[in-house]
Amino acid sequence: MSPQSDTQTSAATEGFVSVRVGSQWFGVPVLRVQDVIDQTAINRVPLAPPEVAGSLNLRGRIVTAIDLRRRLKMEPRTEVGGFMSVIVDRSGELYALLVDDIGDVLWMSSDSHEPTPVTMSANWRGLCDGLYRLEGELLLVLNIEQVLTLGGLAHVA
Amino acid sequence: MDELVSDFIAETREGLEALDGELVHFERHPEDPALIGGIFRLIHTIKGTCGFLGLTRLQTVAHAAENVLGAFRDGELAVTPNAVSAILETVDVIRALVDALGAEGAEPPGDDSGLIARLEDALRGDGAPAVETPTPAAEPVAAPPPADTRALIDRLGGDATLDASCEMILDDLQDQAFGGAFAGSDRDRLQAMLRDGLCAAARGSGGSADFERRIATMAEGGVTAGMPRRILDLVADALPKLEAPPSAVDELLERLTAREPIQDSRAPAPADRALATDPIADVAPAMVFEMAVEPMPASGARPAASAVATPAEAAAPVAASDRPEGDAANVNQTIRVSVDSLEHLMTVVSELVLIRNQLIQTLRLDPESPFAAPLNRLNQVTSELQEGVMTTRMQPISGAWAKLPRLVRDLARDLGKQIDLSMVGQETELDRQVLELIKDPLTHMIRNAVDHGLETPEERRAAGKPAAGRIMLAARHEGGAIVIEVGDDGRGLPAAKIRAKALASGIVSAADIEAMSDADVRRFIFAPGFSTAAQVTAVSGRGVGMDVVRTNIEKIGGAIELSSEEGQGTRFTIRIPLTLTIVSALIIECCGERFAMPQSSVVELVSASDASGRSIEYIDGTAVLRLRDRLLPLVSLQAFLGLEATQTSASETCIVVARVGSFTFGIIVDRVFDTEEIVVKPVSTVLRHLKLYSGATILGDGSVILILDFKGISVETGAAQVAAGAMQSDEAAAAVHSDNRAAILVFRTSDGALKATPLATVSRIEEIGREQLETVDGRHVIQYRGRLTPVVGIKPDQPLAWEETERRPLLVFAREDRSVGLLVQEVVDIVESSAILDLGPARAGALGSLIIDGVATELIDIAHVWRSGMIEPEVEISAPAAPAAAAVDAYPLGDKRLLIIDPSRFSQLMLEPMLRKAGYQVTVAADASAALALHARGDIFSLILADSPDKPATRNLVQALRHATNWHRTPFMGLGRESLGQSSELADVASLIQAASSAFHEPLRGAA
Repeated sequence: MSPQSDTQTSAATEGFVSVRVGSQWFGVPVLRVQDVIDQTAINRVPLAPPEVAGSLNLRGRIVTAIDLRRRLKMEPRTEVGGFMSVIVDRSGELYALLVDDIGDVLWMSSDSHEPTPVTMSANWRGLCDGLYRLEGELLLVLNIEQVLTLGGLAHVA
Repeated sequence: MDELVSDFIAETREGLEALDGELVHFERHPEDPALIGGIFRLIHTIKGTCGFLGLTRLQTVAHAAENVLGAFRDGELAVTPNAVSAILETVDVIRALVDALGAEGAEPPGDDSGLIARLEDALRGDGAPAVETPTPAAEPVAAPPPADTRALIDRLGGDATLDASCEMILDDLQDQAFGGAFAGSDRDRLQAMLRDGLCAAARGSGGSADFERRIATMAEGGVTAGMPRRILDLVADALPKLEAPPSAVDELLERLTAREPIQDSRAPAPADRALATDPIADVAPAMVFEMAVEPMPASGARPAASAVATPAEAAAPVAASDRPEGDAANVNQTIRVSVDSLEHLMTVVSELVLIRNQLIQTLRLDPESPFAAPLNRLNQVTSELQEGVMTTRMQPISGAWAKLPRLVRDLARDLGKQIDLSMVGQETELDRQVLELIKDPLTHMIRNAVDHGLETPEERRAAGKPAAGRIMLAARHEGGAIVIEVGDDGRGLPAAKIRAKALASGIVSAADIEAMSDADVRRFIFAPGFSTAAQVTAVSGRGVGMDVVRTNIEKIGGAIELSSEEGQGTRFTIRIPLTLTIVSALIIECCGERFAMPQSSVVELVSASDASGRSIEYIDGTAVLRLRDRLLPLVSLQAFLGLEATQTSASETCIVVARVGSFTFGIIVDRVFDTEEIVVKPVSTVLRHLKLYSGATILGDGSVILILDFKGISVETGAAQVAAGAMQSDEAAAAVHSDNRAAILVFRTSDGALKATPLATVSRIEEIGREQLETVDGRHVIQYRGRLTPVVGIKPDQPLAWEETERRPLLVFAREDRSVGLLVQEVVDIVESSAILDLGPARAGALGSLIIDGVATELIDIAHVWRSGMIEPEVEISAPAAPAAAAVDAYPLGDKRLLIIDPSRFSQLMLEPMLRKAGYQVTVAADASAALALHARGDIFSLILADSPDKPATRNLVQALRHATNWHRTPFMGLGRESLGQSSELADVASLIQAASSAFHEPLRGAA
């Protein structure tokens, strides 16, 4: 997963659930993904950090929804068409990453893993663990831990 | 095998948990045979199972302990603290070994010889003569080489197999075949006797002579010829059933029957770990004698008794002797379930409950549905299931207590104190999550009680108390909560020292602390700054970490209170909810969002509308509500949560009145739904910094809603300062004044002077109208929640320049449940100030002055306000309300009998219940003749309160009571009820009160 790993292992492949946020495709490590669900009712959490879209009920478990557009400081979602959620687990807690679209699970050889360009915005670089080149697209690997760490941002306001 | 080991670990841990307590109990009651029997059996089981599982280290240790316990049980060894300590140490070692076994799957290597030596010392020390050395040197003529004997016992299947074989033949032994020789014997002892004999033989350390001697100790009427042989035959029958190889059985029998070689060479035989060997031979007859005088085993002398006892005794062992059946019976009783699967079950059930709720909701829409009947049934079954699963999570509180007896014992030994620990209500059940969370606070409090609360025996004797201190632990259910009490009869909390300490550490001002009662002052031990400092421990003698205890208890929605009396002891009362996962909550809506509010903190619901005559008023943009006779600060949930206002019907507003500590405030919401039992789930980590949510839950329709935390809200709102002030003065939890700056309330009195008081001392500010002010007996009061609050700041003789419509602020100072109001002209400001200039002894009513915004401002003396408010007799009497709290350090009220002479219904309706509630015995007489009738009956009262409509009537009454000679020394007090403006007429009655009440006043003053 780390940028250095490509030099050490050659045959290993890693799976990513490809998700689209805005026009950019991101990869969520498949091992972290618990579930993928369609648009669902989300209950707002007043005074929560802006990235927190609210809470939703996934089969009796409370899942905190993180709007990736907000997390990535992108334009708020405009299309009424909606969103989908990738449910990931962090130490027993479930989080839903709200994305615009969900693509295939891609199996990438770690050989082709590349570090994130240093010129990318600091925010994005902090949230990504390198990238993979696809045909005509770039797949940025999301660092789930970082994505779910809102601490620093929560207190800015 | 793995499963067996893990079962063994779980079982052993469970057993050990109980063992500490039982051993400590045993040390005190060595005569209790049931107790030692239980302990012995547990260690014995551990030993046996270890042998079976090949855990040699555990087995060796357990065996050594078992020998000592066996000696205790047989009365061969006096129960000494040292021996018990050695056993407790063994328990620790076993626990450590079992833990290691659980962690690594194998016994850790190690040497226990030191412990075993201590145990053997203990075994020799007080009981058997110290010849029983297991030195190999004592065995020079050992016929079979040790390697072989080892092999024999191993070939037989170890101690466990031999033990089992003995168990199997117990019934036969007690049968008539043996002439009733063993019929009355204790089965455990019989089994141990046989097993030790067999083991000794199998190890080569004992032979037939030894075996016979052992039988002799048990057999009624001595060993008859052929008896050992017949027993051995039984053993020979039993062993093959336990898969002991026939060759090994034969070899064993050979050793036990071959008299000559064994008898000779084994005379100074090493005991190995066997209990009674040759050196004890001299002792054996004595033991036999002892048995004979002991009524229970010596049943031969009392055939009738044994006949009754035997069937009952035999009944249980029948099952036990048949292993598989016995086990099956046990399995039916309890099974072990991992906590994880319970938690999972709980989650699934919660989910089921949600689905059920959803289905029920559809049913509401379509009551004619064909599914109605099965759905209702589903509803019912689901509820039952939920309840059932909840119950499985409940555990008796003894789980949290199990370690305490041991702790107390060890601490007491270290500190040289004698302590009786009594535990009541161990079976009280509560949620295991709560159980885990209270373990540490409880341990801490017990440690405190032992360390600081109780005195040394010498001190206790000097104080005229029994040398042994008492620590009392009690638990009980009380209305959906668990109440745990931790009490001691030690030295109590010295209020004066705490007072001084609190003052010195600057967490409270001199003015505040003077106004505080001892009970309030004692609560400082819960203040953070107070408890951590080591020197405080030395001074107050109590309180290390009490803030942590309090915090932990409050974290789980509990509360802790304390009462203490110097020299008499201290008692903490902890109230905690039964469970944390399911709470009753009020579902409310605000701006289209729903929230849950914990029902426990909701005081009432108020609807504010023009129609109801109550409406929200605004003071400088702050919403308040006049609720009955008080002003309720309001928080708009919409504004507070930053929700977008939706256009709802503004004609009516719902206000949820909530109480946090002693601070009561209202929350404006749009709608109030129902009360629901909700399953509390934790708030996500990314939201945890929001203090206003205590959790989240899923409603019946599947939506996720947040549970509001009133405490968080009160802290976050502007009301927080006042709230903090109120809570501080009430709970004395003040820790806010870490520096010397304090919020000062500046106000103007009716004469125009600027005065100030620390905000923390003011419990609330109310606005009152002229019409609310009433006069009772020449003093001004207002009614508040059915009680009278005296109002000071108005001179009775001065006419009030107060417009009917004008409202004035009343600063209310509260203490316990009493309060006094100070009427002021206006509240000027709240300032932060530290510049308190003490001008020395100022005039009465002032503590000193301080400069606020360049203006000298007098700091009022709250104690003076209290005094002037409390002079009033009636308030004085009702003052010691809340008898439970006050009675401790106050005054025994129960024996205070009051006689009220009053023709009006007022007494019956108002006065009598009020005084009764305050703890007095009240008798009401309608007039003087009724009172005289009571006098004739011989009734004696502590105080007579009389009310009469006018002066002549009063005089007549007093005249009449002259005849009541026995009452001449009884204080007499008048109750004036004249209306305002007629105060001049009061002079007579008032002076009467002054004079008559002074006698009764003094004791009451102590209470105030």
